[in-house]
Order: sequence, then structure tokens, then C-alpha cells
Amino acid sequence: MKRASYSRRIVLLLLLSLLLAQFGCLTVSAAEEPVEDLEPATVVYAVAADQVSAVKELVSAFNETYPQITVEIMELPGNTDERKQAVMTAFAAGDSDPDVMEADIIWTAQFAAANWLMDVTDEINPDDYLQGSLSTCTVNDRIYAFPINTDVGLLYYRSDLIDTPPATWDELLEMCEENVGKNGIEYGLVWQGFQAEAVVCNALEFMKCNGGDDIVDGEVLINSENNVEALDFMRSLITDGVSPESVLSAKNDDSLSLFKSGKVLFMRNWTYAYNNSQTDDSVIKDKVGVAPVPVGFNGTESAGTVGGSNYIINAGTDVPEAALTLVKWLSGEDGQRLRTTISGYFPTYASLYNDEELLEEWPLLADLWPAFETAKARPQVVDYPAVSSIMQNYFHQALSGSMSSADALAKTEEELVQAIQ
Amino acid sequence: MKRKTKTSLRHTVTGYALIAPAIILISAIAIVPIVQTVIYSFQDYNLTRMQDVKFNGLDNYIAIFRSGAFWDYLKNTLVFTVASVSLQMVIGMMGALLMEKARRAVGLIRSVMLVPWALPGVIVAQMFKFLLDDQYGMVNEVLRSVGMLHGQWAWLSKPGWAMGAVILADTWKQFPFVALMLFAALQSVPRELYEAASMDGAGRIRRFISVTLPGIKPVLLVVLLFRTMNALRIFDIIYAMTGGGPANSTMTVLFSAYKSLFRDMDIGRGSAMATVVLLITGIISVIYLYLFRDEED
Repeated sequence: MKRASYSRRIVLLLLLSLLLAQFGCLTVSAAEEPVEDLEPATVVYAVAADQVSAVKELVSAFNETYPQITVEIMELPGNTDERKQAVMTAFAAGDSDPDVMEADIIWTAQFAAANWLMDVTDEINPDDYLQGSLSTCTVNDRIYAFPINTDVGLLYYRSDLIDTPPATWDELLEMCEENVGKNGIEYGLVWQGFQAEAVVCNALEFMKCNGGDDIVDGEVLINSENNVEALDFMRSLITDGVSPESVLSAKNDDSLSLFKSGKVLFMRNWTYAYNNSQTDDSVIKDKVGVAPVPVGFNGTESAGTVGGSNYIINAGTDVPEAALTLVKWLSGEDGQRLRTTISGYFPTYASLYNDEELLEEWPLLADLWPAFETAKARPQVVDYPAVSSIMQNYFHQALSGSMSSADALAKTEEELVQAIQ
Repeated sequence: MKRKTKTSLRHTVTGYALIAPAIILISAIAIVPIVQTVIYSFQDYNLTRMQDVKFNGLDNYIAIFRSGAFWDYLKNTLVFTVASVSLQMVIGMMGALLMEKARRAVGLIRSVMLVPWALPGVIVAQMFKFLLDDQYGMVNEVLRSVGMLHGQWAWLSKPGWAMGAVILADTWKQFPFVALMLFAALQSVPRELYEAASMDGAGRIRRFISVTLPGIKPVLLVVLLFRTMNALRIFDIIYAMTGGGPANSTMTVLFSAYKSLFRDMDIGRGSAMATVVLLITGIISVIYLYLFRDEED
């Protein structure tokens, strides 16, 4: 047994060294004179390739206050799945690097259960953050991460054709009927049904907007009338031609490019689509409005799916104090304000939504506040990936018409109960 | 049998010494991971529960075989393998015969043929995704212009059609390999045999069946073995093109092993699935090799 685990470590270490050789590490800034009683230290900070330049800017601002902490940036792949594989290998091998990393919110529970993350319950002030985001950092009442940014599913609409965005599914259908076939509009609504995390985020959103739920305190509530109705509604969007059938294989960018082509009245997408739908090559520049996703037939409030990322600290870090200092600053008011202006991220630091200066630069913050306030997280369970795989399969069976919504949800419930035991 | 002398013994030792580095390298990068995977497949081993990793006998295999989904994945894998390999063999054979007929620019034709094979699978998948796009895809555009299609047709969103699209993409990528191997084999069939057959009054088809096919049979079997093994382990095209969807209709055993291993972090379950693929590949190899040996004797 001991031998086996030893050789496993060797294999994992070999893999890790290959990874490190591949991604390379670049030093951002050298340590200067220490200003506080913190020991000089080097923190390895892992981040997705597309955020490297933003993070470099953040780190130099951080170094103005804490020159004694050197931050080495470890570049990770842009693709979420590949990024997860890269760090999983390091964490499972008990490596002390990376010390800090930006992690998708759906990894936190799984990583915390594996004892890979530093428990920061006593270091964080929970009242500073949006509660939806904080819930993604929490496992069994302990907190294992600091929120970076939040994201939410939103309804984008053509502001040149629609004055008041629809608040309910009925209104949505009415407006689609009115506008499809005119002004180059071919479809009412596009969303993302690709059999991966996309279909889960979208379907749970429709369900929760219709008064449904997924897993609450370990109890599986997925097989409800409201949820069946939500899936049926999504299927009817396809069969009635409101949505093109290709939504079943669409990811975020696929929906975005269709919306940008001017053929679509409404689009469900994440916050990133606001700026990206109005680039100079877009035919709908300055014709895009955004609102919370509409409420279902039986729902009471809009319930966009929460997305975003968290800062996590490696439990095996050899520089815990420096890592904590860095993360507290990044996730604090100054760090998040800067990040919002650099990356266009929506902050999780609640008071920033009242920050006059920031609101002037980002008026959307105030507009979208209602959507963030009622946003709902995906199930906070340790085996989330397994739970997600089950939902991906059956939701897709129902949406593609291979199974009835009622049967699909009955099977989902049956398998979810087994999976989370 | 030659008598063993001191010299030949020394030769043997030198020989083994010379191939030792290669053997060690191959063991390190191929055999060790395979053995490791098989060992993991008998363990309750989840990265999120590293503290209680333990051997659990056949539990992983039992759980896999009991789940209905596995048999669907197996069926998809076999459908994909049989369909894509058959298509590749037929089209590859036609390509080889055409290349043999070409008397000019053989080098150019061969280079052009190689392009699909040299492209990474992910890129091929992305290309076919664009071609088959319901709104902007060239395939739909062509079908519409000849009046075979009205409106949109979402190839990758329809369970049956998505598998067809994946098979098509893999066939396009892999048939050049078959064509080139068979083309090389065709060169080795003695010309005299064709002449003799012609004189005996054999027609084209008769010559193909009685002279060409037996002449290239050894290569044909090797190519078939290679392609089958690779098709059973299809990953890249499915990963990039469909993600296993729609409704799991293109989910293969190996892709679901990948999901267990790298998404669920369930090393035990994922390794068991990978081992099943290893076994299937092994059995098919043995069958082919048996046929092959039969030919040699």
C-alpha cells in the first residue's frame, strides 16, 4: 500500500514537472525593501492564459503596498477542463506550487473535500461579499475560497426592436411572435444546450425561474412538476421554431455569433456577451439591451445561474502568510475595483455596487444588480462533476426529444440520489 | 541449428545491450502506465478521497457493467468503429487503385492525399463543425442550392446524424493512411501475374479478386488492425465536435473514461473503463494476428 502510493507520487510528480516545463513560469516583479513585518516570500500564482496580462497589472499594484512579496505567474491553459487537469495533478501530488490560483466556482467544493484547500473561515469577512458568490466558497459551513468575480445568466435583447424587455415567458413568446420574420429576425431566442456544463447552466436556470429547484441540503428535488414544465417549455422552443435546433450543440460563442449576425431577437448568455456583442464588426452595435432572465409560468422571481471564479490557496503551500496576504488584497475592495476596470469582471465585493466612481465607468453594474441579487448557484455538492454528468445526459435526452421530460427527470432524480450518498 | 560459440554469445550480449535503452524507454512510457491503470482499476480511488484509497476487487467493473449507460457507450464505440473502418478501407482502396493508375504527378497526388491525415484531429473536428453548421455551413448551403434542403438542418443536434458526422470526419482524416499503405502494397504485386491472368482470360474484377487482393492481403490486415485499434480509441474528434452529445449518442467508452478520470476525478472507475477498452483492443488484435499468421504459413 505504502509502495503503491509512493510510486503514484513519483508518477504525479513527473507529470507535474512536465506541466511546469510546458507552461513556464515568469517572474513579474522582484522584491524590494519590506515595509511590514512580513517575511520576504515568493508566491506562485496560477492563472488562465487569457488573464495573464490583467494579473500582471494587478500584481504590480499589489507590490506597491507589499514589495516584499514576489509573485511568480504560472500560466495555465485557457480551456477550463484542461486547467483543472493541470492543477489537479499538482494538488493530488501534494505539491506546494501553485500557492494561489483562480478556480472556477464549481471546483471549490470538490477540491475542499479532497483537503487541497486552506480553510480561510477565520480570515474572511463574509459580510463583505455577495451571498450567492460566497455560497460557492462554502462547504459544510466552512469557507475555503475568496470570491473573485461573479457572473450570471442574462437575457440580451435587441433594444432597437424591443422597448421593455420581457419579464415572463408569456411576454417573451408574444414578443417573439410579433418580431420574427421582420427586420431580418429569423429566431426568437438562442441559448446554450451543448452537452456539457452549458446545458446544465441553461436548464437549471429555466427550472429555477419556474419555481423549481435541484438539490437543497442534500435532498434531491429535481423531479418536480415545475421542472418538468420548464424542460417541456425548452423543448417547445425548439419544436415551435422559436429557437433553432442547433441550440442543442451551441456553446456561449455559438449563440453570440448568431446574435451578432442580427438574426436573433433574444439571447441567453453570460455577462461577457455584453461587450462582445457590440464589437465594431457587429451589425447590432449599440442595439443591445440586457435584463434579468424572464420568470416562468409558475415562477416568482428571475433566477439566473451563478458563474464566476474564486481565489483558492493550496493547503500545502510553503508560504501561507504571503499567499493569504496576496489573496486578501486581490479579493478586497482595491483589488476587485482594479480587476473590474481591467478585466471587465463583475465584482463580488458588495459595496462596489455603490461605488460612484466605478458606477460612472460601468453603469451596467447598477442595471444588473437585480439579476445578481436573485442569481442561484448550481448544487453545492462534493461530487459535483458526477452530478453534472447525470444532469447533462438526461437534460439532453429530454431536450433532443429522445425521452419525455417527465421520464428524464425521474431518471435524473434516481441517479442523483445514488451519486450524492 | 548453429552451435553456440563464444563469439555468438558475445554478439548476443552486445545485441541485448544495444536494444536495452529502447526497451527500458518503452517500458517506462508504455508498459508502466498500462500496468498502473490496470492496478487502479481494482481500487476505490477518487482524488477527492485520497485518504481512503483501497483495493475493492471487481467493484468498479461490476458498477460499470450494471449501468445501462455503459452498454450504450459500447454500442456507440462499435458502431463508430465498424462504420468508419469499413468506409476508410473501401475509400482507401479506391484511392490506392487510382494512384496506381496515375502515371503523372504521383508525388504531388500523394502529398495532397496526406494533408487530411497530417492535420490534428481537433482541427479536423472544428472544420467539420463549420462545414456542418446549420446557419452558415457550406454543406447546408450546397444542399439548399440544389433544392435538397429547405430551411435549416442542424446535423450535430440530431442524435442519429451526429454520429454520421463524426464518422464522416474521421473517415476524411484517416482514409489517406489506408490509401498510401495499400498503394505501397500494390507496387509489390508482380506484374507477370497480371499478364498471366489476362492471358488466361481473366477480366478486371477477376484479376482484382484473384491477383491483387491475395497479393496485398498481409498489408491489408496490418492496416485493418491499425485502423480498428485507433478507431476503438477515438477521442479527439468527438471531444471537439460533439462532446459526446446530443443525448449521449456519440459518447464512446474511452470518452466516458476520460470524463470519469478528469472531471469526476474517479481514477478507479475511469481506469476500469480504460482497461475494458484495452481488453477489447487486445482481443481484436489477437484475432487479426491469428488471421495474419494463417496467411504466412
